[in-house]
Amino acid sequence: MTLSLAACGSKDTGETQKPESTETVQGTQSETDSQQQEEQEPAGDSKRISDADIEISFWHHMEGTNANALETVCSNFNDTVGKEYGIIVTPSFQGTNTAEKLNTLAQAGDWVNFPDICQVASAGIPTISGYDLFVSPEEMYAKGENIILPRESIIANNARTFTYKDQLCAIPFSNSTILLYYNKGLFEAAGLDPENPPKTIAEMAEAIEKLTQKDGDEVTTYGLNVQVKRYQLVNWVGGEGEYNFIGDNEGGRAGLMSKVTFGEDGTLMAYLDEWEKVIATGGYKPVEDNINEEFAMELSAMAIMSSARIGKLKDLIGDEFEWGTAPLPKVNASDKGGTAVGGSGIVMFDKGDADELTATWIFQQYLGGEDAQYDFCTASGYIPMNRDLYETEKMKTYMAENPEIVAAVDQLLASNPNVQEPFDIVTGDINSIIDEEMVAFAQGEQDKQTTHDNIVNKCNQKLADYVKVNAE
Amino acid sequence: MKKKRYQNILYQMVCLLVGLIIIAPILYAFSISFMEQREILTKKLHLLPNRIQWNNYKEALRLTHLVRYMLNSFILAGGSSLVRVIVASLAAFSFAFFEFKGKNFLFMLCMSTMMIPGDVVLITNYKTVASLGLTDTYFGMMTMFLVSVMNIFMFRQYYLSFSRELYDASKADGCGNLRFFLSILLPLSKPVIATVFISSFVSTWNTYLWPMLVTNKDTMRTVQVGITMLNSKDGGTIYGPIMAASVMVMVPTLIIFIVFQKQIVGGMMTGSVKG
Repeated sequence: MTLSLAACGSKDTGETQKPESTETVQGTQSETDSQQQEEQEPAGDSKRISDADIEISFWHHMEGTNANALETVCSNFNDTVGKEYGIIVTPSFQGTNTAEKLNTLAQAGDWVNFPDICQVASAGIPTISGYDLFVSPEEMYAKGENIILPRESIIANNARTFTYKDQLCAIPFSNSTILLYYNKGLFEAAGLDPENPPKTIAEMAEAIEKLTQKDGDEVTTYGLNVQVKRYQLVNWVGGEGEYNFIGDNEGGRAGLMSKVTFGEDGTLMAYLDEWEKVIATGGYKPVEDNINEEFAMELSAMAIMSSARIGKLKDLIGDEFEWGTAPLPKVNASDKGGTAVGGSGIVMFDKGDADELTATWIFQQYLGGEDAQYDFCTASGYIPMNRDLYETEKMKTYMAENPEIVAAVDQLLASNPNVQEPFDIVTGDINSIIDEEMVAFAQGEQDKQTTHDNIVNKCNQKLADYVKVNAE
Repeated sequence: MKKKRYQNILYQMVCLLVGLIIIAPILYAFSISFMEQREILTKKLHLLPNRIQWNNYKEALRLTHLVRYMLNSFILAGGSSLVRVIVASLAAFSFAFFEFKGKNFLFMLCMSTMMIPGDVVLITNYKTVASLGLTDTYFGMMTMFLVSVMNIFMFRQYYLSFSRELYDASKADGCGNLRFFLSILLPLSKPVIATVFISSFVSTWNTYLWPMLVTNKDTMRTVQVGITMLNSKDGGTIYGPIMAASVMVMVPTLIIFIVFQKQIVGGMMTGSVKG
């Protein structure tokens, strides 16, 4: 579906526009129709929500160049769609964990200072969806009013990431997926095919042995650098078989997650069996100091990181050497699950003013629209969550010019939507447990069975403690 | 005599070495702020930039509103430090010179608040500030830093070393408490005033969590938040601009520290051996 933003005149962008109802959005409104409509009615005032401009406060956690990209998107909104509807958005940085700040305000009962709209990591969704002011996009889509981003434009995997109890709770925004980054030059030097990177952990272990360079006993170039924490582990285990929920209640998406299931279904042990092969190579660096920089300095031949780092690595590496990205090597060759969608989405709050809510809803959708996603993702390195954008020429050109992102997009689209990071509530604790146990396993301080049992038992204990206190 | 001279030289050298170790990270940060990204990421030890270039400073200023944040921090740190000096000096005056029922109990009560970690009362404090409508205001940011029991203690200790006879003689000459405080005590308390002001300024300048919590607008952010904004969880760390921003942020506190360092030492030591 290609819609043009008539009032903005951005015919080449294929950006979403604002029809007055769902029917018009889902219809086959052609560009010509839009132009005719534009000629018939003066653009601007007819679409204004109210006489005075409506100010929307937007909290985000983007830093550095990503923050600049986000501010540009907001500025574009204010100059185009915002002007049309009479909306002014003011973005403001609220620290690296916006969910925590919202939680502090909620605990203090300070609803007045809540923002209209906020960027949050997916892990914060179950808590945020419980706030009195929270309004889910699901409810707004059900009303069918002021829809400028068709529901079906959101890629199913991304939508699932922000779905809790069958409700889409946020519009996905800055999304990524986990990838294998590899140094093509070092692959060639080691006699490996640079166009055929490892597809399974076992193949990766074989590659590590060939890629590792030593000076005496000291490793000068590691075959692989990755610190296995929650993010990495749930991607590996989650992708086993068709898909794996990691925890009960569909990994916390159907209700409160009270235990991990990767122990009882054997998927954690299956992963550890394979990971043992990686550790045995002696060329695996289990701790990340500066994973981007070490890869850029050829201190590691392979690294496993979020696709959001592609842009950063391009800056760091420049023309120094050839490198590529590939899907995350699977635990078993037969696995079909793929990987989870990482990153954050946009939630909105109803502060009691109907016009303000409408304005917020329009801006929330705009952030998932083709123009906003293209501008933000090409400037930051995230993967667009808008399915229609991939059909546009500009996106095709961008992907042709940036082949590193292709593996990320292909992997995301090929993954089962049920493969997601779980809503495990005590995310920080679970991350620490997995991190400590996997480092101890990699450094030979404990065996596979102990690592397995510790991860399962400690995670379950943390979840049980949380459920005991908060289930009511 | 010769032995003592060697001991002195050895002592000086150890002091110099310790000083260099302490200042080394700051000097290295300063050096990195002039390096290009490739120089920072070399495998070999690279202590000095190949050439002086200001791109990191330009980048730091481009990516954040650092100048505005420095102004905010200056208002926050300067304002709250000034109030702290006034409150602490007056409170300590009563604890040191007045005799009243329950004085020691009140003093101990004040001191006992030092044992309550700030994080525990964070939400309660936020609730109070929010209900007073002080979010997104300088006063709201300052509220947490207006009174410090440690500063009251430092003033009290200093006043206890002050000649009691002078106070009695002043009173005998008809000098009131406020006049004694303003005309005699405060002018003679410059070391402790400087110490309290500067230590308060530096600690408030470096604070992050409270200003972050109590303000929502980007224009109200402080320098420490500004430096965080240069970092990127997904995009990695841009060391050059971060170091450049750190150097810029460090300058005001460094100037204040250098100018008043003699008073700080004097103030800290005074009253430590009351006899």
